[in-house]
Amino acid sequence: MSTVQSERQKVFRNNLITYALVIAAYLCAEAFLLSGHMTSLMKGLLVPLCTYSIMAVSLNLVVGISGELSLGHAGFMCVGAFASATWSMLMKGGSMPNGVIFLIAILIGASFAALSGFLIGIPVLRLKGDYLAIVTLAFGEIIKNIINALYFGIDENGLHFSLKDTMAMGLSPEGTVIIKGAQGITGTPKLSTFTMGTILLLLSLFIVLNMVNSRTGRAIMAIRDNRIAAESIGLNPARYKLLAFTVSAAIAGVGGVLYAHNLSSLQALPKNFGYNQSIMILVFVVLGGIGNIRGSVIAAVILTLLPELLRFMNDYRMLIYAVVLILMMLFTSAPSWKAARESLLLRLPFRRKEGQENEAQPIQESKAPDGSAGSAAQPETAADQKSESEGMVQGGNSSGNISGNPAENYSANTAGNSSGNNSGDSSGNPAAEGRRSMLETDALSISFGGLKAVDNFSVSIEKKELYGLIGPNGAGKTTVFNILTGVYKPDSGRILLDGEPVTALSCEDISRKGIARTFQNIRLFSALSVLDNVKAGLHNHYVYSTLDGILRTKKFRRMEQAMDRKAMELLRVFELDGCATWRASNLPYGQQRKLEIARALATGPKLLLLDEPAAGMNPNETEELMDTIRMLRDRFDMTILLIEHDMKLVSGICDRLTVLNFGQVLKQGNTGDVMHDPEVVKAYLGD
Amino acid sequence: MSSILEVKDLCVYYGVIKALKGISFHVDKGEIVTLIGANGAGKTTTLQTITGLIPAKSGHVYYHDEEITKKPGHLLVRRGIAHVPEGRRVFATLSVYQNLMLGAYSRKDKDGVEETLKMVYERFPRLEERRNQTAGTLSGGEQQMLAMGRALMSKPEMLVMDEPSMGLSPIYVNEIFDIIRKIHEGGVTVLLVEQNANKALAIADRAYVLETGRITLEGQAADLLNDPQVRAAYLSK
Repeated sequence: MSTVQSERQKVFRNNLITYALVIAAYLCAEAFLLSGHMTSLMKGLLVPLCTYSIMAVSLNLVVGISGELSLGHAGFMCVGAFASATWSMLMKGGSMPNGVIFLIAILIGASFAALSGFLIGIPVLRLKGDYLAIVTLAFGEIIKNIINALYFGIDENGLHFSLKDTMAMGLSPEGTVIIKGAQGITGTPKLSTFTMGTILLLLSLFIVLNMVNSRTGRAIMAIRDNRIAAESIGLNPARYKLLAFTVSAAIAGVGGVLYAHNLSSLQALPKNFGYNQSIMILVFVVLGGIGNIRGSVIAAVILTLLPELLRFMNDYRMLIYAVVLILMMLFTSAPSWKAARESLLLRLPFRRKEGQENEAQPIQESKAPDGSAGSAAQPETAADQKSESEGMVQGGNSSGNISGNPAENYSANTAGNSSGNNSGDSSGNPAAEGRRSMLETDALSISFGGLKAVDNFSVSIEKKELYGLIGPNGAGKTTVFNILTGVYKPDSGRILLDGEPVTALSCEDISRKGIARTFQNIRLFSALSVLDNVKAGLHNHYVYSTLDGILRTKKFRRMEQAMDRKAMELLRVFELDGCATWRASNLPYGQQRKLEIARALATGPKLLLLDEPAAGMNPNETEELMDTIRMLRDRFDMTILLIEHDMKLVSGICDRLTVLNFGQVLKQGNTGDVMHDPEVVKAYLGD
Repeated sequence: MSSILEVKDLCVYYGVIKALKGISFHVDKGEIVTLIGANGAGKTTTLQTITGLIPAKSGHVYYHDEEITKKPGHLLVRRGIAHVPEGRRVFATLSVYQNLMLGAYSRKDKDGVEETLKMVYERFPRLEERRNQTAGTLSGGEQQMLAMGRALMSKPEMLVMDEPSMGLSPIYVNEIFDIIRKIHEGGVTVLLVEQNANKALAIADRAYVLETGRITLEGQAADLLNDPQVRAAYLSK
């Protein structure tokens, strides 16, 4: 547990360093200002520095954390700028103090930008990668163009709009025009100050950094790293992508507010809100390191200052600027330079110590020859259990069908009274207790382009059964898994999980109902830590809001601690607790497979689907895996359906088998009988 | 020296994690040599370092007594080393034929390529049947054959194979090992990494056991097959 704590402290320390850097830079600048050593040119740059830093933080949330390339962020800045400037113009000369006007302006700018982010996000986030980038680019331009054609004014009758010209608004002679089409807004009160800008930057950093290091951020990054796996553990990609996009737009809106209130005239020009600007912001993010929030701020500051610092070079300054930019990119991001930098860092004394620690990390564990199931299972203490149920949110708040307390599914202690486990959830199902089947499929079929990939697949799997699905490559085994977990909708047929129909539900819903899986080609959240991979699996069981995460409330702390405990417990079962803080992609292959199983278990499933768990394992490791699978059944009351080619594993642990061939069931029955069936031998086993 | 490949004190890091801690071994012309070991022992890393996919931290790799340690992968193919990577890695959107022809990319002798293609089709009749199908739609076993066929298209002197039997049904596993034997009989030297240690040791001449980045045991494959330690750790009982 101490590794987890030190990891959390490391994150905390890192965030503090970021805030401290901003504050130090602020104090430096203030000192220069007060001592009169700052040129007027530099003075004019102070607020833009804050604006661009905020924009960079905002965009990094979308590009780095959520993994979607957006080229329209200047559009959200534009919305924030105009919405807030309009408000300030309306209030100008009134009795409201400037401070209050500006505070409300910030809220208005952020809300309008958030709203447009939300509305644009709904269609745009259906796209991926380059397509998404191009569409955001277009939306950014649309926003700018609409505002260029917008006329807005006020008179004693109220507010007036037009998209045509000033006359069309029908203002009375006493009325004032606020937005004058392409001429924009003139006379915005100059309310932005360097101090205010710095505070807003700190606030943006606070929101983004805390969000990233919370349940919400984990979900967003999990979806970024592997969307299919994220869906399989019950995360909703659309929802979290939209959330990240909206929050990012709101922060960009704040950047716009700061921008608008720093100039007396505001126009939606290509220069300030066009795609050039969007790309400039993207350059900050890329240079600072995608996903590195602090880097974004540093890059924004350097690249905003650089052209001004180079001003003495006159004609050459933009050329030199470009060359410096290329060199900086190479230095921070080219693989060979990166390696050189890392080895340089390794020579530093304090880094070397860290390196040696890492080297000693226990990869050896994987082949401890006596990995018996018993030794892996550690009894939970009563105290642990208690705090667990405190921290646990009843799954029932969103859907009544999840077994009331997911802890039951994990806990070893309830193994004895398993029949009581599920009696509460599926409202009075009449099926006979004890002999009820956990999974029942009835004539599932699906075809792709006329080819019947799965044809009439029916199977019935008892509770706590270990069931094997075997067959030649391409027989449709993985397709069956994809249908069961909601990746594909079957053309026909029915699926019952524990007596409850789950046919053609979404991946997310099926995960909530209690089917979890692993993948043939391992799908981990590769950039997340081992611990966070499991915690992502716990997502739907330990619920707190995004706001709780940003504000670091008590609920957040309690839930995170409970999650850490639960996740570490699961990691211990798989002897992965020693590398909880590793990046998942740094684990050796065998451990990655184990981590996938741990993550699947974290979702608290009733049925676990394992897709070729022994692939790439040597016979000895395969034997350990067999022990692990038996342990899963005994300790977690798990029903397991597995696809496997390793006949030693299949014959060693499976109670019954189904053989698929060309999408159809070739044979079904007890393992021994099926393995000796001449047809199966001919089609699959060989001699 | 009759060694076709010689590895000396090879060290490889992933960031700060030491994957290979100074390993040395050699492969003689005409041999099948296999590396066995647990997951994370460094087998794949060894192969990838030899074929220039991962840079070595220190140590040397010699091919025909000439240092190739820092040579990029594509140049090694021209020297006669072909790599069949773990997990097949066929070009999924290209046809079987295109995949095979890409294997011969570095060759200039057009007629020779035609001949090799014929040889590959003879060895893998199923690839010929499916030559216009996109590689991604092949079954796992067929993809493995394609990956091997693609490697053979460069007319290698030495074939480096990483887990050719992974994820294959039992019937295919037997077939793949038959094919490896036939390729070897055709005069190709083979360096093989396999989890299926039983089968690998059965066809190999010599073997090395890797444990957490070090070679801990080496010898004739037949001897290792009967070594009680090896049997306990890596072979099915």
